[in-house]
Amino acid sequence: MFRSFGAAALAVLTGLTVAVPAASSEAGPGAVQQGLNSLVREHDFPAAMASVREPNGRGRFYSAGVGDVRTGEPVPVDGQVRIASNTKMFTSTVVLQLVGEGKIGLDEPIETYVPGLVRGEGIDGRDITVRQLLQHTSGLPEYFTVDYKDVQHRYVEPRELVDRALAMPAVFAPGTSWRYSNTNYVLVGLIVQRVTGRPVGEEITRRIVEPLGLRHTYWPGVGEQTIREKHAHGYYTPSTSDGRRFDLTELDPSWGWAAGQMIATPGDLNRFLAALVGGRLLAPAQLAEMRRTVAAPGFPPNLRYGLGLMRIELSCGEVAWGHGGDIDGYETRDAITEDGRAATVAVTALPTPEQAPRLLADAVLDTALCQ
Amino acid sequence: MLKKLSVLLVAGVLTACGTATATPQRIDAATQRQDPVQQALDALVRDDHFPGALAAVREPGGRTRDYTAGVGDLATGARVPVNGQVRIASNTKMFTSTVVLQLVGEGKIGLDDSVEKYLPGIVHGITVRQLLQQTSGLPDYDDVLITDYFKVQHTFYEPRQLVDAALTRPPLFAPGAGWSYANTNYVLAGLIVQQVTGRPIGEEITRRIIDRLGLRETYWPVAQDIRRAHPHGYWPDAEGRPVDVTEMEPSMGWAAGQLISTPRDLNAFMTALLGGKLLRRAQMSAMKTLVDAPDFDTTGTARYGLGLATFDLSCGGVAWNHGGNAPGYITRNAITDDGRVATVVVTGPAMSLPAAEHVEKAVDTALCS
Repeated sequence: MFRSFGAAALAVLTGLTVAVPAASSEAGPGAVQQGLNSLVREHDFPAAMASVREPNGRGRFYSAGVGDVRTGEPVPVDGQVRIASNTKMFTSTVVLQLVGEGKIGLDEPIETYVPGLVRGEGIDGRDITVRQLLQHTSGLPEYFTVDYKDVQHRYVEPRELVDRALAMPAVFAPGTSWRYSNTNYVLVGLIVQRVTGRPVGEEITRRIVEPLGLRHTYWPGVGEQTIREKHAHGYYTPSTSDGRRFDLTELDPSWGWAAGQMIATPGDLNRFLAALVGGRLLAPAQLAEMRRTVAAPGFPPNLRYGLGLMRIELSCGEVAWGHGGDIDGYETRDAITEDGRAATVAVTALPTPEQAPRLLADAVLDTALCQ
Repeated sequence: MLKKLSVLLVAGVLTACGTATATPQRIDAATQRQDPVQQALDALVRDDHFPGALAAVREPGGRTRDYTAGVGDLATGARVPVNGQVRIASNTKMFTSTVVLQLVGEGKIGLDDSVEKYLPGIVHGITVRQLLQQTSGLPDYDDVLITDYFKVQHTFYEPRQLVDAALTRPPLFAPGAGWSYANTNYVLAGLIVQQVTGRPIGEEITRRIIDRLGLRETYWPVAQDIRRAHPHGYWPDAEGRPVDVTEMEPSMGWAAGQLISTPRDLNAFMTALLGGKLLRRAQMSAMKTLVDAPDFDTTGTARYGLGLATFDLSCGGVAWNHGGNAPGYITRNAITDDGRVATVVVTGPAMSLPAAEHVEKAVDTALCS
């Protein structure tokens, strides 16, 4: 979950040469619709949807499949999904705002903000910087090693997530390599809380969601397991292909927290990306930091990682910025091109381990942005 | 905050209160004024300078009388809402303890299990019972975090941060070797509930107690305001002037003091609890098994069970109580064995020991007259 390319997928992806997904040869809106149709018909996703936002702000919504496999009801137009790791863009934006306000130093050891908290085998908060957390170069191990089906309704305190991670040894020494880890963003969330004295969900809401008027975007409260507005149901994908799918729409999102708690619509996610890349949330210096990328070994070769923001090289040669998110029930892929075309593609189940390396939703995103 | 007497006795005098306001006019004002409970509340406002006071007294038969005195808002002079919502602070401990004891009854928690069994690596050699009984010897995080309340009024704390703050100090005594009131104990109890149930403590309290009893004015707040009609609460600034602290971040209380309720709801809760509607006999008996807790209240005779204490009545006999102090609200409440129950709230800190005694005396008056 909350990975941009699922924990399961991550292992599969490592060492593979993944081709940059090819855009459909057929340009225009038809190609996006065809891509969604194919996700449902050929690849068994219960539903697939996409929202495409033109540089002038005009949006189009596409969908295929059903919103509820039991009743067969249609996919609601621009319904809400769990955006999982896309939350990291929001968390990182808050941190970078605080950097701009002089309250957090990007290259400050995290010990300054969470003294004594980060200790473990090969792990020491005095040797890890805020930037390394945001960049996934801290070497901190991943806490999410369970199956969401087994913890579907279980609430966890963010500190328990940290405890779980710190029980494992460091993956590498800080700054020496790159490894995606939700632990980084849970710690970042704790730092935001220490520095602001307010819950990270409240800071995200006050600093981003409300000023941008993202009316369908929210941070689910403590214990809140449902999705508030109209939405397609999300389904669990068993690790073996013969297993049965079941409805995982309702779950306790506390396992994501500052790394993956949020709910939004594809349309709102596009609006957020446009505002972020358009400089409406960060000062130029901090936006430049966010867009300064490093190689992301193990991820597809067309991706590089900034600070909670990925640089995506599209098949048409253009560059786009986004993040994406995976949580059991929903996979989202989203990005905005340099000239301001934004797209979000969502499917209502994670790809199976066999499907994951094929980057199916990513290909539709590429289609939407390259047309 | 949320606790024992010592914190209440803030230096300085709340003189600039302007609380010489008349009690709200009522149709039966004359009768009401002769009522000893009303007289006690009037005296709390007039003589002890509490901005406002409210109470609910319930007879064993079920009839409730509501009382108010003083003003609900010093800025506007608005009256105290009848049965208004208040921060019940440490009364939350009765709710948390009840949930723990329900889980004991369900075989999910052992009272004499070590805390470590549920929360590995945080504290050592302490049992669940010692937490609920305040005999763990753990220091109180309030003493570490609060030096000037206004500096933390709007600060959010994660529960584990509260525990961390307490553990920066050495233990007061070996577990079981003494009694000392500490919110830390109940934050740990709340974390145990979350570990065992897999749900947030506020949700467990809501589902197992509030919803079940239909306490419609009682809730676990996440925001900083108070939802329904309520008197404003006050805390003195450095010069002793009352400052409105109604809006505050409640997370510093958490399982030790987060809840908001009304005098009537608190009476209903205590009636249900002591009436055996929430706990099985064995757990009720564990809750009522007492140790000496001399500094729990101003009488010096209190004994403490598991989130429930005794309160000696002037008319003879012993009532069950807890009470709570939040910045802005002092709540004192008790229920007799025959089911007479009273809750009294004042909307500022006690500025003297006699003032603190008078709040407790008002509960005694309500139960003895």
